[in-house]
Amino acid sequence: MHIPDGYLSPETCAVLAAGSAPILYVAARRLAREADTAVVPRVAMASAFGFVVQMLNVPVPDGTSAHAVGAALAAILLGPWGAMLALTVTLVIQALFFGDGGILALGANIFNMGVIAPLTAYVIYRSLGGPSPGRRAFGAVAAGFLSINAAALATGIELGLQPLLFRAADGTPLYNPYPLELAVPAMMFAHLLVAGPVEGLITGLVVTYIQRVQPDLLARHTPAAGSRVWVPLALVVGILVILTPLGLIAGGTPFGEWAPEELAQLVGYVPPGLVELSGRWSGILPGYTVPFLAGIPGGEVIGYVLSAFTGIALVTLAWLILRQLLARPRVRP
Amino acid sequence: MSGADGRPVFEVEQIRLSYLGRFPALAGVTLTVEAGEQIALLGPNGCGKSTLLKVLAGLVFPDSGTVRAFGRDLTSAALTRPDFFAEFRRQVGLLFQNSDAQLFNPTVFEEVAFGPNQLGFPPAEVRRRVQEMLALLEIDGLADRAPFQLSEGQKRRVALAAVLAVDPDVLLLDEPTTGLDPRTNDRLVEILWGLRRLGKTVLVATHDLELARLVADRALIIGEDHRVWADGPVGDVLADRALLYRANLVGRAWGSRAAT
Amino acid sequence: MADPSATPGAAAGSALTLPEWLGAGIGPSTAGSASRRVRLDFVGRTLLGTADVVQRVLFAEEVARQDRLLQRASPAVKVVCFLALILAAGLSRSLPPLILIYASCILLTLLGGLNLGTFLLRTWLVVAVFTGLVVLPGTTSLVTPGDPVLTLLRFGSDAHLGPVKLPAEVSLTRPGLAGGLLVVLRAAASVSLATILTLTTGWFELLRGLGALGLPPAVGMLLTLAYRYIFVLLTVVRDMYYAWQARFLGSTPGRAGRLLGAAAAYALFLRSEALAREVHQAMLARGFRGRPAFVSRPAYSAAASGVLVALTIAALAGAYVWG
Repeated sequence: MHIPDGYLSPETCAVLAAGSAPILYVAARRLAREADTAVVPRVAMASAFGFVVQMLNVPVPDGTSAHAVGAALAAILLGPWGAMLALTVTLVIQALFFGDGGILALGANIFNMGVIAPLTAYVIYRSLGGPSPGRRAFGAVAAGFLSINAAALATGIELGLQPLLFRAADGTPLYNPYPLELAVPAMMFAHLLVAGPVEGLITGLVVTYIQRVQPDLLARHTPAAGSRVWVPLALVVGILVILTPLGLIAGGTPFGEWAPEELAQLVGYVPPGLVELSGRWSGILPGYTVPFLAGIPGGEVIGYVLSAFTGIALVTLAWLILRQLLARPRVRP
Repeated sequence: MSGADGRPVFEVEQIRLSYLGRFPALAGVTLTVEAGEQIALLGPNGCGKSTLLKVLAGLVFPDSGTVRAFGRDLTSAALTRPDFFAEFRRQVGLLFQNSDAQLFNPTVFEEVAFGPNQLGFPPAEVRRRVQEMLALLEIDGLADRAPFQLSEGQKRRVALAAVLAVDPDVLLLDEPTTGLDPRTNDRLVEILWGLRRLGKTVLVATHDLELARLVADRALIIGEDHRVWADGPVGDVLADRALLYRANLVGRAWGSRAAT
Repeated sequence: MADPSATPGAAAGSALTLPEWLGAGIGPSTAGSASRRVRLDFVGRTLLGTADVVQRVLFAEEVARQDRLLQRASPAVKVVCFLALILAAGLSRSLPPLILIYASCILLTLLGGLNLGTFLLRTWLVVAVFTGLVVLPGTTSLVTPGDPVLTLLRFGSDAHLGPVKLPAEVSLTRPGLAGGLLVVLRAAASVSLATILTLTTGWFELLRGLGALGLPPAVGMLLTLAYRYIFVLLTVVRDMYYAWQARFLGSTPGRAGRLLGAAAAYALFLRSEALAREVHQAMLARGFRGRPAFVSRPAYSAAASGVLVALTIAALAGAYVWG
């Protein structure tokens, strides 16, 4: 999934690099807190591990052979922060010395494979995996599969935005020519059907093996009492929130969400009940826009992001309240 | 297919091999091995002994020259034929210098059972063979342990048990005693004596002259120029102090006390 | 000490008893069932991959040792110039500046003492496959509508393939072709520049240059260690795959092969952890307190650096004027 140069504009790569930088900085700080002087050799060897692990080919059931990217494996064995740093260094070495992936595109590749993939893998592994060997294996397979697809989705979006944002005056696409509606399905198709299952399989295989020989390796990065798992989760959710304005690009109205006028156009008539009730309730943030921002350029985008925050906050609040109400009463000693 | 029909086990003719096209490993080696011979391949580090063993085991192939095993050409094409492949791999066992590299099963038991399982023996027979191998190598108690956590000597024993479990006719050993504790060393030597009594062919690549004296009838010296410098009875070869010194097998002080 | 049973008349009881099936001959075998050729592609690919890494590094070191203009220039200057050219290629909005920048690539190839023919062949082979083929559909009217340059297929205005409405015609369009060429040339320029840079500079010199440009010393040390120890880990893989190959008798390559892969990943992890501990201890033993210091650098030729800078500025200026 290494993107070569030429497909992404330098601006896109710069933005993605800028987006990755703070996350990597946080990762570095967290690691340094654990073991100060040992950080450098540890990340270095983990990067070497990440590099060489990608060279391991295994036979796959259909008769050919395949290898994995290893982001999920890294996240499981090294924890999210170590994995992000290690994979970033691996990507840098691959791009600089082995021409695997472009130089400018490093920003994007690091974002997709060095941040999104390991974070997704870690969150999935922690939430779906469990202490039993079967659950662990399941968590590992899911982490592998979903991490690759998350990275692929991000890649598809990044590629698909290029013809939208970067065209010459005469309409020539300056970078990747395939728009979102082609790029995303193409990437997802290949990764849901091939690369994803392969990654899931290999991640599952390795975790199962380690579970048999040295299970404590797999429990290392399990934070005590679920204390710090919310940070990677928050990061993933945060990234999703930032991506919500992409909805503005999608043309047309989602299925079943038509206004009465659109319905009249589509089928020729409007059911009377719909005529009566439509428009009664508009909500605080109608259409995911903040009313007073409507006139400002970019106001729509900000409206989307604010709506996302508000929605998440409300859901989290509701869940916290419910948890308190439904929790079993503590037994007084 | 073994040397019972009088044919040599290995016939190697002027093989040359370079790694990555630039690092010579073998520069014209010729060698014939008859069934039942016990040979020591002597030479300093980097002379090409390991490479020669890998060639005999059909893992790497020379750039020029020919290799024949059991009377048939040993080429990568020949090894794609299932019948020759299965026969050859069972008959030739290679014990690697690096024990870690050969232990890939989750437990010691499974490691030793790997070979017999592939041969198609029923589970009860496999279990019997594994237990007898573990007993032979005196590692019965380690059956359920993960190989990676054992000591070097224990790992070496497991690897040897795993290689012997398929009853190979030819045993190639790459530096088997390097870094080994004396007791494991003794056990290894006793096993090699036992294999000699059974008529098996053994090649040991080593720079341990004591081991050569103990187990071999014939010794070859491969020099730092990747060629064969000597090939003869082990007693004669080891008596030539000047040659041993030139071949970088002994230091200046060696041999000042008579060793028997 | 000698083999007690080798001397005639010695006590047989002192010799080791081996299991009776050792030396008894082969038992049941599953070889008869396999009529297909034995294929261990995954082993071959892995071993080839590891060898390829070493091969590339050796070649790069060879090139970096040659005494040519680029090799004599300071690595920091090289990084800045090459990066500027890559960026310029990335920012170009039309073909003429890109062509100019690619032309400067060719010039740089020669200034680095590289064999132009082999270089062009290898870079364009990679670019044609990974980039050329991928953007090919993008040059057609299916993706990029516009002035048709060459009509490929004509379906007629009401053609259908089942429920799908076919376009009236499929052609190579002017904007499509131009866009495709832009992507391909950009990719070629970037790959060429990156390759020339790393081939003529060598890893450690490159890091030194980056350090001079402000890369934190800890990061430089990190990259150095990672790079150096990749080769140690590669031998782990190589040895394990060879050893497995020696013991695989041809029954079920799938399961046994996947076992090898899993075991190799585990072995790599263990080794990397052990190395991290040992390297850390070695560093501490030599007085490392967390802040690496770089050795004084060898002398670079200011003239060579100057030529490179002049060339870069000329290329950039040309690209700006024509773009």
